Amino acid sequence: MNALATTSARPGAARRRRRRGLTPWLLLSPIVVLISVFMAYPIINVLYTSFFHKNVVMPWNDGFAGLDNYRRMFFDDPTFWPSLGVTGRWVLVQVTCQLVVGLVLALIVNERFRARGPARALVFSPWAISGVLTTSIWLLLYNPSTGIITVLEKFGVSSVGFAPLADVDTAFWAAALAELWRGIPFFAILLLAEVQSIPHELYEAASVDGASRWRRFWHVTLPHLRNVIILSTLLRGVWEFNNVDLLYTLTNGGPGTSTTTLPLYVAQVATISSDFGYGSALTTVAFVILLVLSILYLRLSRLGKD
Amino acid sequence: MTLTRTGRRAGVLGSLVAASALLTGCLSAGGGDTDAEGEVRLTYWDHSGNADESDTLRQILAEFEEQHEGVTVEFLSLPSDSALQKINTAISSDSTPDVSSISGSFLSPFVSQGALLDLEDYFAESSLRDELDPELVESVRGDAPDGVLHSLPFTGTSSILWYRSDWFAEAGIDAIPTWDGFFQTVAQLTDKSQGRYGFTIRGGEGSVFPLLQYAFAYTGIEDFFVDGEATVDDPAMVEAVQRYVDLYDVSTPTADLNNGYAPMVGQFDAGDIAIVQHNLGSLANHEEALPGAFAATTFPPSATGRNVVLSDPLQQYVVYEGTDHPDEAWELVEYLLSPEVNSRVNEMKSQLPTNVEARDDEWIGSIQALSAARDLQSSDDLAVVSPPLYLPEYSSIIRSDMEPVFQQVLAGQVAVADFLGQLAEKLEQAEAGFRSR
Repeated sequence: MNALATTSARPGAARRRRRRGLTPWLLLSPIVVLISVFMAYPIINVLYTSFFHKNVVMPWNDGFAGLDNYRRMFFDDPTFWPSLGVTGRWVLVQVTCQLVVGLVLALIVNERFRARGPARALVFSPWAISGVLTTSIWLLLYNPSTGIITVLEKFGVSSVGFAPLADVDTAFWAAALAELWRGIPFFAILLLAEVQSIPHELYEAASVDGASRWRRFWHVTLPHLRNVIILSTLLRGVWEFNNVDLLYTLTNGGPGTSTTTLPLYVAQVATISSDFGYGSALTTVAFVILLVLSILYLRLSRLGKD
Repeated sequence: MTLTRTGRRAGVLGSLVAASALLTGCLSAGGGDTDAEGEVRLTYWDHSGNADESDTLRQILAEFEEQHEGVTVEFLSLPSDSALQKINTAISSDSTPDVSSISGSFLSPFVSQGALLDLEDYFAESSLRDELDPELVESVRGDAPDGVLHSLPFTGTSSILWYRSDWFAEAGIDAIPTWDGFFQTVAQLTDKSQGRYGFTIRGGEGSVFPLLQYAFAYTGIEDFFVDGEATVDDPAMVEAVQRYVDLYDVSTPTADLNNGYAPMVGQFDAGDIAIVQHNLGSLANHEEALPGAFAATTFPPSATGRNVVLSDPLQQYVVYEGTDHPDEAWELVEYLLSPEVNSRVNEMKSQLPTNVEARDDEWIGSIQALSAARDLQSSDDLAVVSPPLYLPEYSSIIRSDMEPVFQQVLAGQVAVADFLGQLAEKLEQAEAGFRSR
């Protein structure tokens, strides 16, 4: 009887085990499907298209290109290398300045003082503003007839009619300032949250040991912020590398190509020239650059390790 | 709670159906349709993206519906700066409308993709054959790479000089009879200390085409290509463009380097500029901002004594190959181009009708800029040069390739001769490729 019961129970137990084994996969399947549809497929499709000539306005030239698009990019395209240089400079300036200023602001609004609430709101408010609206604000500020230039003219600091966005030497820095204004709150918010999680006892112990304010920052605050700084600079670096909205609307890459970053160039190739084969090759290279740099950065910074 | 096998299958199937509906919903065809009662539904896309014009167009389409029982028209207004991209996407995904308006620069890419219906037979049997300006019809036929009529023009426009008539009167200047007179006037009316500039240059988006319009009008060169060689780098062109570039930051604002259409016209309307070069389309802006204080004049005669106009890309109606109702779609085009409707559309846009029967309408004579443009177009001393819109690469060359280089010219980084040489080389390569096909 026992033997019979055991035998009849086995198929049910096996089914339950199989079901239990499948359940995690079933629960994961929606996200796997979403990642496949919205990430894996576009990436593979762009990689595949990069080996083809594909221009919707010249369909008779469409066909397999091999490495032609890559050869054109590296050796024949007068815009590719300068745009990569502008991108590198843009990312370096943005991430460095946003981190430093964001950290300073996070430390300031972490202190207790009157009107700390409004001060925090003021620091974080640019984050709530869209890229296009940021452009409108800064275009007005830089307008030679109505903006801050008119004030600078009165003090003799600026020449009459000076247009920062129309000067090859100043356009990059004028655009960088606008993006800096928008990006600082990202670091300020993240770093403030982390600063607030530092146990107060550590500061008290350091004070008892006679540590100055600077030494408390250097030996307590900064080591505690290490991981969040590594992660946020990586995220922000990728973000700034791919920044298109502000530059597209503020300068459209000009004057000349002085503010043309690689993603902006890709957008121009795709939207104006409709050259999707070449645009895909440019995108693939940008993707590989970001991937390699991200892996290197995480390895070298030893994220999560003391 | 556990799901039964049937329940799980139903759940998975339901999810797949929902996902499919979600994905394909984005890709549903926008072309015509017929409902169960046999009513024909057409779709019409307007490429100009102007909210004020949309109201009038909706009214016109409603009147078409009243006159054509059983036909309804769905209207969609596209933003002008991304209309080409959106229609290209629709072509790629087989979701084009039945009819749309387009800019002349869209024609070649659309014909190259086989997206447009051949209108030759429809046009041959229509009363429009006797009503539309034959030169403009021939022009759009020539702009198509296959030389077939795929579109019909609904506006004629012309690049002109808008000027501050009150400033001219103060300075005792009557007119701009010559190009030398133009440059003298620009210099005379510039007073930087007062924030007044004689001219404004379009240095940003859309800069190269108006530059070429000026250069052809100045030099009097009457062909774009001679034996496959582009004329844009002719020494006379270099001299003309150099003279134009020399105005930058001397008689124009420094910010002109980034000027697209809106900032350029905005500066004139804000009262900072004496003369601006643009087509008839900005009339409404000037009327609103500078009532009674502006006027328009056509370009002065060229060095040869003739008036030479590099024609603006014409706005046109097209019927898409993917339509299920080509006859009804054609009826809509015919209606839009009828004398009365064509007149209303152009009055709304402040442009010249292409239906010649509408050109004598009273409203045209009452607008000084339009009557000046109309008089020039009927002049015997006029030579019209057509830009090579039939080249699929034309827009790409003029815009993404050469606009940044023109900015470098204005910034003093590239010489005028090098800029025009590069432009000529690209155009000649495109022309040779086109001829070899």
